[in-house]
Amino acid sequence: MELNKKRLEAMLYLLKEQDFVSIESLAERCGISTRAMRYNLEAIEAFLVKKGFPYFEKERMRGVRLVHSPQLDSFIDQYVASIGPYQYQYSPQERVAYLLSTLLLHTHPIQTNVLCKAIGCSRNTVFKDLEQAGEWLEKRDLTLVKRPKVGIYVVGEEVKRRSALGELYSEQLPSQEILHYATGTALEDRFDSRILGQVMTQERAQVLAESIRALEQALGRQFSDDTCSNLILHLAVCIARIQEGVAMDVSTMQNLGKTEEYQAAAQTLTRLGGRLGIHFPRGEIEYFTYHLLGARVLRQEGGEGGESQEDERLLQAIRRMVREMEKIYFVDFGDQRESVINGIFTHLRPSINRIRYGLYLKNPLFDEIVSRYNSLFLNTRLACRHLVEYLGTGINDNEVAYLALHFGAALHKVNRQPNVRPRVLLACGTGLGSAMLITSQVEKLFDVEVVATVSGREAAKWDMNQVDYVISTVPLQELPAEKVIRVSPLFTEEERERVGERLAPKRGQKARYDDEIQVARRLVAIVERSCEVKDPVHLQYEFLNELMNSHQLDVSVSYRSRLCDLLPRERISLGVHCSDWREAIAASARLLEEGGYISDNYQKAIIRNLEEYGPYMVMLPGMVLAHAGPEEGVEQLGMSLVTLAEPVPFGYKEYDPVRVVVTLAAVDQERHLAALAQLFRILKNPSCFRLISTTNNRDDICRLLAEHSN
Amino acid sequence: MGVIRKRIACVCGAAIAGSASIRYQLEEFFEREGIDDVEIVCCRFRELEERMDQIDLIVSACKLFKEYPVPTVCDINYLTGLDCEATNRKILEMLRAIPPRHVD
Repeated sequence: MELNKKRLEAMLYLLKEQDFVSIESLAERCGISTRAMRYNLEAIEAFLVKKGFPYFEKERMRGVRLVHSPQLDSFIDQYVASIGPYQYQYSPQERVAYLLSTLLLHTHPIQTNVLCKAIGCSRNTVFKDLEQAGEWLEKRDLTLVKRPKVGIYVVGEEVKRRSALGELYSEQLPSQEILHYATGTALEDRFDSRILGQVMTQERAQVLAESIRALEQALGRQFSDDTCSNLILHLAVCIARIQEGVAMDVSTMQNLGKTEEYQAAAQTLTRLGGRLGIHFPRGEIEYFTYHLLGARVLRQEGGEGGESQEDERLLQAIRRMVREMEKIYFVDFGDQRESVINGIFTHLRPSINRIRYGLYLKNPLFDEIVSRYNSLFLNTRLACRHLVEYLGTGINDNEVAYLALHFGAALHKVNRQPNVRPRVLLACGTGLGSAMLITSQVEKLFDVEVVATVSGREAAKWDMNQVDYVISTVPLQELPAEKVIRVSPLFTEEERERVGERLAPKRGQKARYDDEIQVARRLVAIVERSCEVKDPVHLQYEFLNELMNSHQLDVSVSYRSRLCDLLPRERISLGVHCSDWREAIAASARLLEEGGYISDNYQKAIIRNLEEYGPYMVMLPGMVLAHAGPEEGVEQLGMSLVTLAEPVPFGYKEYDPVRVVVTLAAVDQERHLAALAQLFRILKNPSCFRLISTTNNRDDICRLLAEHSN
Repeated sequence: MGVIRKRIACVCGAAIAGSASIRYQLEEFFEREGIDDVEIVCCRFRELEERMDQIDLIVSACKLFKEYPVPTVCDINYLTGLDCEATNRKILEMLRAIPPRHVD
């Protein structure tokens, strides 16, 4: 039993920590699920036991701890230091990356057994991994060739091979790891260390880093860390390929030789070549120049050069992009427009060559931008068609994400202009709790800007010229009556309607409708890219119609604090047979558990609370409200209701026996309160309670709940 | 020596079913009455004993099954948000009877 990267990481962490470590925190640290962490811990434990060390110490609620001893510390140190290719167990993704790196760096065929040895796997595993590698290469216009008795190799244009290597390393190796490697620091990550070792020794990496620093001085620029590490890797790959006897072709790009970047590249590579005993042909100097032209620069001595014709064409493309974004978002950047255009120009100017020649640069914020600002990202991609026309080639999504950031900032500025939406001040007795609850609902339901959430006393001190309305849970007699909208902390349906009446003239129905139009337009554009659309206007109308319908559904979901929504028919069970109160709690909790509202721990927590503090959950004669804290296993807000065939005592003489068990799963202290109030108004009514506790028809109860859910 | 506020603890088992609702309604009541020397906190039964020396009155929506060294008030109406006025007034009377506490 040997250990892979995650297991090594977990074992080293356990070694470092003297105390117990929870499985959750270990899993989070290693970026895997708790279930996977449990398996990994079993593997680590088995490994250590096999080596003669004791089992882990395990404690419920606290986690696991290594039984520390000087022998164990010494063993783990030696083991980690001695790990080579045979001990290190690659993950499937790492295996494929390692194979790709090996095959792309070399021109000559490589035998399968060499690959098996390199990654310490069987032939079958290697063949499976090669299939994946082949698919990856195919997407990049490269072909994996497997010839019996000859070996495995990659064929394709050299520029595509280099681009693929750049992409592979950019995906696999963090720039900081490369820069550490180039300073001679031993890398903690065994995989990164090995894959970097394929392309350059640590000594060579140091030499290359020195060359890049000299290049920065020659150009009077300071590169970003990403650029610096990319250039180091680029040079390393270049040297590796030259040593394989392959070099880049001479470029067809005119006037490249006259650029400042070319002169600096030629000078740097000549010096480096002399130091390493390698000749860099012209094609390599030009290819390196493209990288320099596309390099992200943090600082540059002196100003920008004069505008060329090329710059003017780029500026025109950017202007068209900006106009398109204004149309999509129905905004006018106004005075900001030139500043937006210049910002994007400054960003794009050095990136153009990188984009044009397919030099891949991973955007570290890509995932966050796409997930958090998906709509902005998609709209930017749509507007990028003007840039695509100018470049004559597609644009990588990583580059689109950079542009989305520029547009996001510009839109943010525009949206902050005054008088766009009514400004609302939220006030309550404490400035917390209920105000936060109401704030979230107001922001969701109305197109307003909530300027602050404050206490009643603070609200009285506010300059009323700065706000259009004050929504308050407390009386504010000092303020002009026409500005104050008084609501209860429960923010009932009726109050929401009342707020809607006051805010109606300024409500953002149009804005919401405009959002839907943007999406509809974007969808039409997507369809038009792949199909011939006979009637785009009609298609846009149909999309819009569907979107408006789905929006109405969303609105209904946002009112989930209504009792009839929280307690639907399927979570009501009538005439259930239970022999004691524990069974009654279990029967009611089961309905929530089956729906995924709570985990099994929740039921235990309710019973524990009842055992410890008595039958305090028996709120009314014959009725118990079973509940525990959100942290005891609540997945989502919901309720269940069970009536008992034979009432059971809970130990509360005055209110026993209990006939109706309601279980509440609350996600916080606020969101269920309106529904809870509705429930108790029903249950306090003797005739309603009688109906609930005696009916055999769930529809009777549903009807009752619906009538009182306001 | 300084005067400190009178403190009310709104309690329930999990601080979700009753205490938050009670707090809102009491806050509103005190604001309306112009009472500003009362501090209201929410807590669970299990936290109550630790905080007991800082609390003057306990309010709950459900019956309390333990004895506490301070006065207690229970009213299910806090869960409905209706008909709490009488209990609120009772709480106000009880607070007035409690002497202000002093700390160093």
